[in-house]
Amino acid sequence: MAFLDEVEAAIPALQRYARAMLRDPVLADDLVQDCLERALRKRNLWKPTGAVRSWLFRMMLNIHRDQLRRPEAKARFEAVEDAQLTAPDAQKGRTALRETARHMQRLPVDQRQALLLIAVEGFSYVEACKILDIPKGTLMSRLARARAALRGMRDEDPEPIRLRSVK
Amino acid sequence: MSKAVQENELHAYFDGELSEARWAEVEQWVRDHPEAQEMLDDWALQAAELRQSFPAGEGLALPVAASHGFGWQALAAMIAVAAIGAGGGWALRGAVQPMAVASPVQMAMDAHATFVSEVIHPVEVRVEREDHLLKWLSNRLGGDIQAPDLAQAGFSLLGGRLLPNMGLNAGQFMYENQSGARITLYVAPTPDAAETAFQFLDLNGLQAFYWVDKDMSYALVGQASKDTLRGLAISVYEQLI
Repeated sequence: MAFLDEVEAAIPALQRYARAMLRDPVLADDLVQDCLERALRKRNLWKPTGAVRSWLFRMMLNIHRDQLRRPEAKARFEAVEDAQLTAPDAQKGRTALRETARHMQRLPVDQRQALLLIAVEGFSYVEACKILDIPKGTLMSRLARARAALRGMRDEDPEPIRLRSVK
Repeated sequence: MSKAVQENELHAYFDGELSEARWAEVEQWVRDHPEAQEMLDDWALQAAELRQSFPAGEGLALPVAASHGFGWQALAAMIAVAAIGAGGGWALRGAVQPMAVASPVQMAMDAHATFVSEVIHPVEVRVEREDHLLKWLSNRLGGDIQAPDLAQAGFSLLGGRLLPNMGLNAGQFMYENQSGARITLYVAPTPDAAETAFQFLDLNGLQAFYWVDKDMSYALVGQASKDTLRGLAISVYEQLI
């Protein structure tokens, strides 16, 4: 049962990652569900030496990539993204948190994925490279660009409300 | 300072990926460069805000190992409602359509509600005649019908009954534990249904785990915690596999 326990323990993080990636929580949970089903079908392919968690993340990203290749799915994901991008910011009292989430969505998906794996999920560079199937140099440049872009967006915001104390 | 600090090294420093020797050098360099320190502070703030902006999910029911590919649409057509997760912000699947006919899990929950409170006739054939019960249900449902043993979880078989099922038949086994709590296992042939993952449904104070495996729909129904019921459902699944 150790394998199943590890899979179950990873579900909340998989949901978080999928939601940050897809924005739509229902599509995100569908993706996680697809991932869990594939993981259980392919559990014999999992090598006991590796971490179940990073194996699951990699699998989920592969499934998502496959989904994006199917034209009808692509349209569906893009429709969701457009709808959310153009939605007016109705709330006046914006918080830094909402801003950060919004800024994050303006990043290219590659950069978003890299930053989330490192900064939120706490994977090592080696693990993140394996999950994303990219060399270390690529990971580093995506990470650097993501961090720089988020800094830049903060600076361009009028009157940002920041978490740290005001000067 | 042995060599200039590259931006990549700052990221590695920040993410705890530098060798110890280089780490000390970069740390010193950062002390001498306030603008670098400011950047690191910003990254830390970003990370903290990201972690708060994207909280961990509330979990999903773990699917059983389905041997076939499985799509939500197939399931959505079959079930009316899928309430998932305790305290989750969402309970309804987007693609669910209103039902024309009762789904197996609804039939299972109805049958449970009808018979679980029976004192004198909870079952049609009692466990003392289990062989007869299984042979009878196997004949009427088609296939080899078995009653899983849930004694390890404290539930013993009371017996079972035959139920109508939209032209086909269905069977119900009833179990009881020492404190008198009852659960039922509903078994119904569903020839064309795709195999599914475990699904959890919480409806009007009654809970069910249900799944489709090898042309049979199963639903384990009771008033029990999700974890208890899931444990029992896994046990049932493993015995019937």
